[in-house]
Amino acid sequence: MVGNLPALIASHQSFNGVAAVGLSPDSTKTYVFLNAPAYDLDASGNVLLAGNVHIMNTATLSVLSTLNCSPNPITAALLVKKRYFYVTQSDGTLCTVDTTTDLVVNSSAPGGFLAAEDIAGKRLFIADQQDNVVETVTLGKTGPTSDQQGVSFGGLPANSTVVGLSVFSK
Amino acid sequence: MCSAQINDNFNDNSLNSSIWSTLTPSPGTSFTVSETNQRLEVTLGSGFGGAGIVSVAQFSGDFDVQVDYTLLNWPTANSHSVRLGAPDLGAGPGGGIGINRSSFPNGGTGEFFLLSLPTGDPQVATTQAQLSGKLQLVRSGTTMCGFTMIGATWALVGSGPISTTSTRISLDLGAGSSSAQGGISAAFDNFRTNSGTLVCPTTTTNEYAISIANNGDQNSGSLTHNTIVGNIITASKTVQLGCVPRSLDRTQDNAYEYIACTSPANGDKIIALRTSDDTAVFQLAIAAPTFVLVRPNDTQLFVGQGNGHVTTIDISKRADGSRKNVVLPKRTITLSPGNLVTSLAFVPGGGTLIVVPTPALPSTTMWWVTCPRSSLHTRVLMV
Repeated sequence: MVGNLPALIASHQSFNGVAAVGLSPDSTKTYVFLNAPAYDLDASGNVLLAGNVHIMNTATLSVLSTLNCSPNPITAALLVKKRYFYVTQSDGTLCTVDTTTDLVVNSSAPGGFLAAEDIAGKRLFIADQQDNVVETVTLGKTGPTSDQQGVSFGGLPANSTVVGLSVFSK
Repeated sequence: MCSAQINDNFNDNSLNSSIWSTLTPSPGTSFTVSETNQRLEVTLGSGFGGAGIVSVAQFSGDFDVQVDYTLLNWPTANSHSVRLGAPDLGAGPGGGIGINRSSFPNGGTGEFFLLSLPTGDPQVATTQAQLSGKLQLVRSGTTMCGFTMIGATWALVGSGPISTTSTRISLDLGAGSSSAQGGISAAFDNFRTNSGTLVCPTTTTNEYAISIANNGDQNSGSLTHNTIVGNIITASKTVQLGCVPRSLDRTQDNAYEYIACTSPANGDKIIALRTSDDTAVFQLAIAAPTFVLVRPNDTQLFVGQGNGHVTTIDISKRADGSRKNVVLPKRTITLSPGNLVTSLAFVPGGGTLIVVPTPALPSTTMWWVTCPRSSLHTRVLMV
């Protein structure tokens, strides 16, 4: 029963390191977040503009389009509200990609070296390696452009570097 | 959950928790409070005490509420009261603020209605034969009025000054004497709000932020679990891991965090940390774990490794709520050696795992791998 075995069914090569990968809410599109902008080819072989977010057709794995967040390395990406990818970057940028339009719809600067993120309710928590804190962003009611920078939480061990974050509420 | 409407006929035999909560009696009180027989029944054991229910929401200003009562076991002079109360308005000489149907031997009053106010307790006599009826409590401005229904007409029991503070409404049975006999029971039915504005309480949500950090060496790291209320960390606990954490992911029920952790001195491992008490309940030696991903159905953990493998661990729940934490031996996905797995993603519904390795620069090849529910052999098909 070959169909029941783990089987490699496809591959895709990128000329820059992949920092994160995610799927649109309906899984029809795959979002690849790169360490640095890279060119790619679409299904017809046309060269797409260099971008550090490559959007692929999940079924065919052809690249549909490319986007650019800040050119500095992407560190993590998280799908929020079943619509927006919040993308953290090493230069302290928080870039937001709308999966309905495949556009960068917001870019804010919590600052530091943003390394990881998670969400609880209406608050996005972001690990800042540079300042050894967890930043928060309160999600706006009218979309990412109404997001508001929240408080920063310390309480992390001194002389350590936060590398991962998991947040939940109850 | 809180309902901003309070009308309850108690007919579904299950207390509506969005409207009511059960009062917490004083320690040692023997009682039962149950919505049954299409009404709310309250029974008390002997001695001083009380039991009943209280609304979740509060009336912020004027209100007019009423309820039916039935005295199910009500001997003469039993030293108990059935009350439609306003528990957040304090107490007076007649007890907690509210309109009561009482039975006491003192004062010769015997069976009576009593409106308990901060500065008085006007009363109206009744008889032992009157075992059911209606109570009504009305606040208008700074005046509280208590009524009972006699025949088909509301009769005023009394009135007097009252605070305008917001208040919940209670339905309870209480004993006013330490020598009160047990087994007294009463029932409430058909609670109705005739007028008034209800305000639901503001709920406080705790947030739990679990972060992993390395210490700059190859053999140590930590996990910090902060409890956050609003903008304040109310509790914090740090657990030393004895290895360098690389990645963490949480089960869907928030009960466990799985952590990929490496240490040349102490061994590479996967740690399962129980979030309720930050205890490591499971450790599995596994080579060079770099990334962990809980499958969305909460039954499997995928572990990306520095040797290009992805190992699958069965983390499905046991009957006691713990997790199996067993490696599925024939479910290891093998990529080319040298591909350090840096990220994983699961395609919902498709049973496909996206594996992101980091080979030697300059290029990265992402792999899409089928991820079946069962398999007999480890096998990789190249396309």
